[in-house]
Amino acid sequence: MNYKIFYRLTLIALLFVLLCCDLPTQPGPQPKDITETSLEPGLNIFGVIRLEEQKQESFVYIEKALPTDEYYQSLDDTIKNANVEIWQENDTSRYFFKINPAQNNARYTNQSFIPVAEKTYHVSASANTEQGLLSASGSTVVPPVPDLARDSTTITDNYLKVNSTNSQTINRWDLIVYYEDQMIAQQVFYDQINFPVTFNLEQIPVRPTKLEIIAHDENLATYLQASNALFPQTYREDISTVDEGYGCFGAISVKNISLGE
Amino acid sequence: MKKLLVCLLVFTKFLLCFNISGEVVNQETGETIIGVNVVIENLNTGAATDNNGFFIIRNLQSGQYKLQFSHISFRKKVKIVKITDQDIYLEQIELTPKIIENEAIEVVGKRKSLIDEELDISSFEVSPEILTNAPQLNKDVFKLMQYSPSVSISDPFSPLFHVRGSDPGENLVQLDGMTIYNPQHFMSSEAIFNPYGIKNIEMLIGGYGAEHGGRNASILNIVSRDGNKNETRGEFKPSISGISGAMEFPVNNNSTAMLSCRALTDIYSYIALDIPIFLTDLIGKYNTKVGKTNISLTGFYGQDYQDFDIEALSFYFPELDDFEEGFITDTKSYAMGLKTHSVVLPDLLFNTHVYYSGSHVDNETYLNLKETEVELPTDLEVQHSTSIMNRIADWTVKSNLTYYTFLNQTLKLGFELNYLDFINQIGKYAADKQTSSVNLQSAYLQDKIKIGQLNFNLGLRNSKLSRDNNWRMEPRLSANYRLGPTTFKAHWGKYNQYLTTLDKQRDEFVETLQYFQSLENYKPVASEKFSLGLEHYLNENTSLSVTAYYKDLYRLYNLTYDITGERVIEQGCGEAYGLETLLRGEYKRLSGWLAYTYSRGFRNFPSYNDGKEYPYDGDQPHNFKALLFYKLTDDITTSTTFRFSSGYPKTWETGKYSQFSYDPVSNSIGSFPRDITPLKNNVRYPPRMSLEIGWKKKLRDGFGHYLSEYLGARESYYTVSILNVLFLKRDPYYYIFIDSDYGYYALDPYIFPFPTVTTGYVIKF
Repeated sequence: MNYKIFYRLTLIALLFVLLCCDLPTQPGPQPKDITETSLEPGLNIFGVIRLEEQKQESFVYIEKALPTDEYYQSLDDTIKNANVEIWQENDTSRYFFKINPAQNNARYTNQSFIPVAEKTYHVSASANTEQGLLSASGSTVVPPVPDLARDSTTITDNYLKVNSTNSQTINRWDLIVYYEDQMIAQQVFYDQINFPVTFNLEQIPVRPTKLEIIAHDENLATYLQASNALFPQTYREDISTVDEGYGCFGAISVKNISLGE
Repeated sequence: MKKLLVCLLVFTKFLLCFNISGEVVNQETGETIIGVNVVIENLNTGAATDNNGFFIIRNLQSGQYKLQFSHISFRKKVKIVKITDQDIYLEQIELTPKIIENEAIEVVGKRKSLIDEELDISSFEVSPEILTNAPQLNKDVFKLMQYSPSVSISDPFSPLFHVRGSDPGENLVQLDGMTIYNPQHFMSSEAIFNPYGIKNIEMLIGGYGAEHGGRNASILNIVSRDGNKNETRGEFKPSISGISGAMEFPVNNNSTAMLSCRALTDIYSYIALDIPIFLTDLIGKYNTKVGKTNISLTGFYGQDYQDFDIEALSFYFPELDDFEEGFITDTKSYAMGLKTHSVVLPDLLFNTHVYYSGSHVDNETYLNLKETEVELPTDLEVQHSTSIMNRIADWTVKSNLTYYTFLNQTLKLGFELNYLDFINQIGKYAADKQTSSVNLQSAYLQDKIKIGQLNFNLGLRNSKLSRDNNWRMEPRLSANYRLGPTTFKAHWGKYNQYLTTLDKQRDEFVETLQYFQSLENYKPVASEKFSLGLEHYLNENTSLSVTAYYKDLYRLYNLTYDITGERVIEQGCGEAYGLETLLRGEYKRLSGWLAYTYSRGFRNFPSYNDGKEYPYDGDQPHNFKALLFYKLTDDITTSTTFRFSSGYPKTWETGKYSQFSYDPVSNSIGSFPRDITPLKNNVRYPPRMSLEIGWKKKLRDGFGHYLSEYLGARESYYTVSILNVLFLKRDPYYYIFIDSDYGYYALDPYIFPFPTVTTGYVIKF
């Protein structure tokens, strides 16, 4: 064997490998040419006013927006020291929402807050954070309690046909048929109203017990429908439905109808 | 009176002049030959054959002429023609192919000649021979066109390309004159055409004439092979990923046919991951001649299918078990057309074309995740799915009449009728199907005039949608002037486009062009182009061209959908400008080209960046490209392809917040991170680079040679290509954030960071 050739080839191969610094799989090279834009700090809230018989479960959940590196570094970006108040338009009464210390989360509630259908409510939240005083505010109109259109709901052994009343402040209906230990659901959006909704009851051999209709306001319907990103570094419009800060402040109304004998 | 007399004399002179026209074909196969230089010896005049192999030399007085036919791939031929008192039509001048040895690979398409009537200031014509001699290009038309100075590529996973600051939907790709709406295989830059079936590739970029329309940026004309009138020939290439093959054969004395097909899959994905991937494409052509009329029937079909579910990887990465993520794509493109080319008189041509072309795209992309056992304040939850369906069907009738007048003019009068049918369904919740149809009517008149060394092309294209009351004019003017070895070129023109495509870069894994009849109630996409350039021959076979251009993209549409999945059409505008230089030619055994381009492109849309100007998605200011061949021996050809370009713009997030999901029944919330992106395209990725080399050897002995002999093949080749040479491949796709110490990590679509070597074996029969 001609070892001279072998050695030369080995030397060339080594040089080849030595030259290959900064492999593509190493981190970076990161983009250098960036139009500087900094994060506009703010609270990220998710508030839902629930209009429901005998329940007061309205809440406001609060986090904050963070620069990317801090976001991944911080496992908990919740805000637990915020001042949160909700009030009805043209009403001087203020409802202060507080967190439940026993639950140790950032869900702010107020058991005495009872919303009124088709009224406008405002929320204001502010908190002192490491980034300074952050705030968020927004408003929503509580949708009317959804009801069934007169003589429009029929139930047989095979199907349940539901026709709900319409309202301009309802943007989405969730219709849920409950059985003893399971449920089936359908959604209807305002721009593709296809009432009456028909449930096929043949798939479950027992009779349903309850029909629940949940009406969403525009803020919540829009926010929950927004798709998220699959890919990084692609332009995303802001989906927030609040006036200041980030997130959503919306409302739902819940109607329960018994389907028993 | 004197003036009248002079006019009469001039007129009489032209009346006493005659034309020589004809058709040039390959003696071995009977195929018409494009780009043959036909020159009259001792006279400073000549012509080149067009896409139908037709040529015409005008204004010759009675007498005897020696015509010389030359082409790089054929032996020179001389024919003596005697004109007495009428025009001469030479039917089927046959040229014999020559074996090119000790010569460089012909890359230019045509070498310097007396003939320079090309008026598109930036047409880029290349010989398909390049594809067979550079194995690293994988015999792919699109990969080859990436080395054109006017083309910049999209992100590394995308097969789409940008031409001079325009969007991918503004490029028209035609096979034998039929529009192919999705001409690429997905997740690669590979074109959907089997290269064996291709006779000629030409890209019109800058200022194409009024006979071309429908798209604003470029027209890629691919001409398929006609077949072989004498014997059956073909190519067969087996490989681990599938087979590709083609054959051309005589049908009868006047008719030939060609069939080419590829069926490819990813064996590894299918066996190891249970991910089906199928790519197929098929071209068939039947060609016949009746009198002086060539009739061709071309059919085309291409399909891609992939069903990727990340669960398939859970065997290797169990943590992915909770993810429900993937995509299903099923795209089809098909076309069928009948084309006639008649020589009515030696100076009068009549062309007709009737075809049906369509595209089906069905893409579903989804990411559904609910993780309750996480150390986060809320459940990790996301439900993302897009379902995009697009159908386009195009019935087209077009015809034109070309008349070579005695005044050194070429008049072309034509019309085009398109009936377009669309079905679209887009959005997160698979919103209702939208169907529409429209008639697009176009007519044009073009006049090429030659005055000494000055050539003009004046044209006017008129078009309108059936519902539109107004005809929209597209005037165009090109000129070139030859001064010794230098030709100066200029162009101005207006261009309309009645189709626009969906921008879905942010939501879909698989990038295809999805056409929407969005413009029935809108004015068309419109642009105005200016370009100025020169081409200088440094010697017989080497030229340097410099072109400057400016495009005013004064009406553009951004077609996308909003956060609720509703379709949104927004009007905007933009501009693009650049300077392109191209040195191409041959020196002994070396041939190829070097290109450098500086170009910029910008957009203005109200919903982005507060309506301010921003760089468009394909903006890559500096582009350096090289494609070089060196013929090592008569049997061995080496090739090198190198590309360096600025990075492309992307949108860098300033931060993140939780996007909440909500279950109103249980009153519980979940969340998933969402980027905050106040500005679009606010960052430029690092430069992109690649170096690839290829090696092709004709086999004269050994197993490969004997196998091909045993199979009755004429020739066999062994090919080697090395990709990512010197680890120079740089093409980040995305950056993901790992942690604060590690920072952003560049994701590259190439799994192996090392040079990869592929080999191939090709037999030709």
